[in-house]
Amino acid sequence: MADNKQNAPKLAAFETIVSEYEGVLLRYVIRIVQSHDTAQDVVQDSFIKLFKSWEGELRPCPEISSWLYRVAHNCAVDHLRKETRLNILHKRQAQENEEYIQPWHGEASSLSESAEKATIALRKLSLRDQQLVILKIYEEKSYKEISDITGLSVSNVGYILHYAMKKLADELKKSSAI
Amino acid sequence: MKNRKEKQTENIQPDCRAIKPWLLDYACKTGELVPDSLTLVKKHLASCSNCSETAGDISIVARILRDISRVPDDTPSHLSLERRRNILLSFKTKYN
Repeated sequence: MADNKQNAPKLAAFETIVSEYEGVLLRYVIRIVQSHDTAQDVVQDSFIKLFKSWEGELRPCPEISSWLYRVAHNCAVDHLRKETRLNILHKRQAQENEEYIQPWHGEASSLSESAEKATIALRKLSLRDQQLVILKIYEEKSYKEISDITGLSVSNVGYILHYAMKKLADELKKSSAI
Repeated sequence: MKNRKEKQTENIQPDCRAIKPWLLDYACKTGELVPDSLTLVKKHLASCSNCSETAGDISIVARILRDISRVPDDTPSHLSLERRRNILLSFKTKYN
């Protein structure tokens, strides 16, 4: 009984942290790994790592947010690397099981030609460039927040984003999408 | 009398490289640019057709990406019960 009372605040902290960040992290990771199931695993592992290693106070704050985005990204990239090593076998199996999400979640057929080409161009960027574009354009993070998540300096974030967006524009121009 | 910042804005014409980190914010109007930087970018774009064209391209790309960025309704906003249980187990191992 006493144990339950002592643990209640800790469990409340657990619930608060998970509830605060699970949705945004799932959305972010799905954009990288393109699979709901994998995103669930990545986000689960990110929270497990957080609770294992976080020594500070457990309450939603920018530091925990940046930490989770960073770890989730690294876990997602690890997954993609494993997937590449398996020579996309996993993706094919997932497709057969209808788990694999077509670019932009099966809505490709309703996308304009430019949108489809932009999707393809985005996937051609390096994982680091994709990460920054996703954080800036989709997650609407500031340069400072992106700097905290990636460990890059704020001005580096600006330069990398500039070149990534320019690469996308050049690619879309080449394919007459813009 | 003009203050030092205004004088700097007048005297410094940043080259193309210097304004690159700001161009995305300018093109997408994310509101991150402080007024001084905004003035510098505007001034540079007025006299540099290359950067002006790049800013236009970036703005179009950002708009296209945003158009296709809407997360569909079937994207889960919660972890599955099984995953949440796994996390809780790990949490209890440390904190109990």
